Amino acid sequence: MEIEKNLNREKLKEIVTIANSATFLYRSFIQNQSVVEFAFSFTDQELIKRFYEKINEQKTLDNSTVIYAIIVALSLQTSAYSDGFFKNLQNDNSIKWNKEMSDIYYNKVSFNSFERKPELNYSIIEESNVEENDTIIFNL
Amino acid sequence: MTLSGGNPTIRLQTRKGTDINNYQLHNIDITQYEVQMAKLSQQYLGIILRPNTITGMYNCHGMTFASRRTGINTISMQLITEDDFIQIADNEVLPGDVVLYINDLGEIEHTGFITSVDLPNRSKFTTMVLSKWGDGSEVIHAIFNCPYAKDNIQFVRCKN
Repeated sequence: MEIEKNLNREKLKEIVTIANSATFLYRSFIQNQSVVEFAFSFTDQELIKRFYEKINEQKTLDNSTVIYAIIVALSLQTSAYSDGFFKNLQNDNSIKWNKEMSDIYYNKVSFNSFERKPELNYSIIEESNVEENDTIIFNL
Repeated sequence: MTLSGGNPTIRLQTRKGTDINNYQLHNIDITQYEVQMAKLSQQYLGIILRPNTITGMYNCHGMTFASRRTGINTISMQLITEDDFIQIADNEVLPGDVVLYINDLGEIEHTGFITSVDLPNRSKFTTMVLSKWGDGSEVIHAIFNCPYAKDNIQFVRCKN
């Protein structure tokens, strides 16, 4: 199943093209609304399953884009599955920035602009339901 | 050449002998990257794409600091200092100097070479840069006309 069909693939492909580093790619992806929605539309197990399907396909820009979108989506989910996934990713050489993405997940690379809070489960909410201390993600 | 992770890597050091992590990405899908670069040309009007420069062999830092031999994921001020670069003021910039695009986290997000400066005025707006955009093309562009962080732009020059 093509679970990635709602990703803004054109914009994301542009980011993958011009990314000089894993942190640039990660920050740009996480600011993309379609990636955030993607992250919360599927379970970690669905995302991981799709990752391993895509990783075995031809290494095109399009496939790399989906693969990185899945990785970023999984980084927003905190579970034993995603933890295990990022542990394995450290040694998975099928993509260019496997180790760097894993480091970002484990907060070895820190971002001042946002902080992953493992104890929280995020979900998209309507504007009218926003309450104090909810997290806002700007689509820059 | 050895392998670092899955990617080939070469021996690369600063002048002072500190190893620099690097990678070469072979066999990227050039046709798809060409499409993306063509789209970027529409977005960033006036940029010039240097032909036949789409490659995963090097990125912007690899072009600027490793003579296009390899890609460098992270470049720090420490590495730049070890290569005897010194910071220069905006009004001292000349072609051949290096431009650093520093993001809000203080990371060097992008680098390139200054190719021309409007010498009488030294206006930053007319300063031209040659830089490589990820695995895409090398691009000649006005200093602010690129998709990287532009709030903190600094210049360095190698003192020999």
